[in-house]
Amino acid sequence: MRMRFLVFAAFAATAAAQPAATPVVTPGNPANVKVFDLPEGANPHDIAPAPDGKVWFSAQRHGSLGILDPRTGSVKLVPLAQGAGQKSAPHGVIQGPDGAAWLTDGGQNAIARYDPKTEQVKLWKLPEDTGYANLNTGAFDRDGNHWFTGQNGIYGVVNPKTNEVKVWKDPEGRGPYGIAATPSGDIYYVSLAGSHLAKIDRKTGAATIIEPPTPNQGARRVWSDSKGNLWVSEWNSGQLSRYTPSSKSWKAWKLPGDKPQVYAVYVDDKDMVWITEWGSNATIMFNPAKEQWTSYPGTKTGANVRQILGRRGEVLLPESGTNKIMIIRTN
Amino acid sequence: MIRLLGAAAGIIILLAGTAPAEPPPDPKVKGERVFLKCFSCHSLDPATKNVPGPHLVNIMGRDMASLPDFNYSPAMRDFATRNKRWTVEELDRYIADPKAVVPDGSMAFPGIPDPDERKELMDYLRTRSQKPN
Repeated sequence: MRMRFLVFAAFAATAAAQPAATPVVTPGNPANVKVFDLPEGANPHDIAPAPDGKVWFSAQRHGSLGILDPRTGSVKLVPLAQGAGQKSAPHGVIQGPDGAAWLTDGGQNAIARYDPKTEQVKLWKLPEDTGYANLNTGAFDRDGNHWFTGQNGIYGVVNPKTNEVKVWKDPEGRGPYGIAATPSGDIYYVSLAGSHLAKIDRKTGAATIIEPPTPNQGARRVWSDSKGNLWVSEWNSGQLSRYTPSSKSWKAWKLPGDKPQVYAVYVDDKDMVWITEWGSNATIMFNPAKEQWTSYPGTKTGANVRQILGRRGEVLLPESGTNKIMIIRTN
Repeated sequence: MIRLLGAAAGIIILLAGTAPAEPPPDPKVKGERVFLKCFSCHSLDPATKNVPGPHLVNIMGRDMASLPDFNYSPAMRDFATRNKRWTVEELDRYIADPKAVVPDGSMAFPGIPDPDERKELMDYLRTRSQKPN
């Protein structure tokens, strides 16, 4: 199986990445953009829509789940540490099918769940023999299982019905970072240090590596569009790339600039692809059908947006460097 | 034949594109135990280029933001203009709470608040330095 993907990579590598057109830059803070200040030290890493119109974010340095109410601008920080001497450091946060916030908590080496109705926090610790995993990001399959990555070289799953936690080693070691589910429920993750995409067999847990054509591209995050195509943000190469599972083909676009670095990727409800590009300190929307790029500058230098999520008509941007959240209305 | 050629080309890509895997730190070994927190982003092999942080060989005493082939953040480059090299004291302060020292830096790691853990880590890193201080 591995050889099949290598053969494919050899053919695909003959096509160089297409240069992206220079993005059209939106004027500073247009009407469809709102910015919210956060409490000192919150420094949002990841972000997710909450079911009641609020916004969740992982306050990694603070060891908390942050809850922003965009209607009032109020912010609440919910400490996640459970037990004396425990130190939380959440990296990722997503909304589960149960309406709860699910966080990958590197500090406690655990998956954390915050129930907004009861305001209780529950932890699923990784098995003892896993060691420090540097937990990164999570995604749900259609059976309600929470899949996650750990940057020290693991991926795994929590079954909330049985409370079972399973962990596997990435075939190439350290690096597992972003993870996403396709509309059909398949789970893919990318490895930043391993520079690969991988598909997880949800029955056996085995990961099949899919090598992108650009060597050492630094695949950091991944997201699926409505057709199940995987969009990958490439940190080292400064490219946005797309893998089409049905044809096993890749296409890539190289962002302009001296040293572009593409960190986050997200596909919205209209199949617009959003990325953050640190070299230009901007969030950029890509229209794949028209191959048009629209840039939204960070609120100031070093915005450092590490992840993007959204909901219908809204894109959420956590500025970890400025300690702000930007919300872009898309309709 | 085409399949064979494709396979051969794929192997070449694999060989050219990856360095030998650096063994992960052993959680049972003092020093390596703490270095596990750094391992996903930092290497102890200068040949390793595919991790998001700069390698930490000779970090003790090294000029800040000085690796020529690493793309440091503007904030770290600016910090380096005011603080020349990684002394024990500066590194200890940075590892304890990176965001407090370089607020706009790209390293998201929340830090190691325990001074004993930091000492253990720096003792370990010192063994990888040629200019310990």
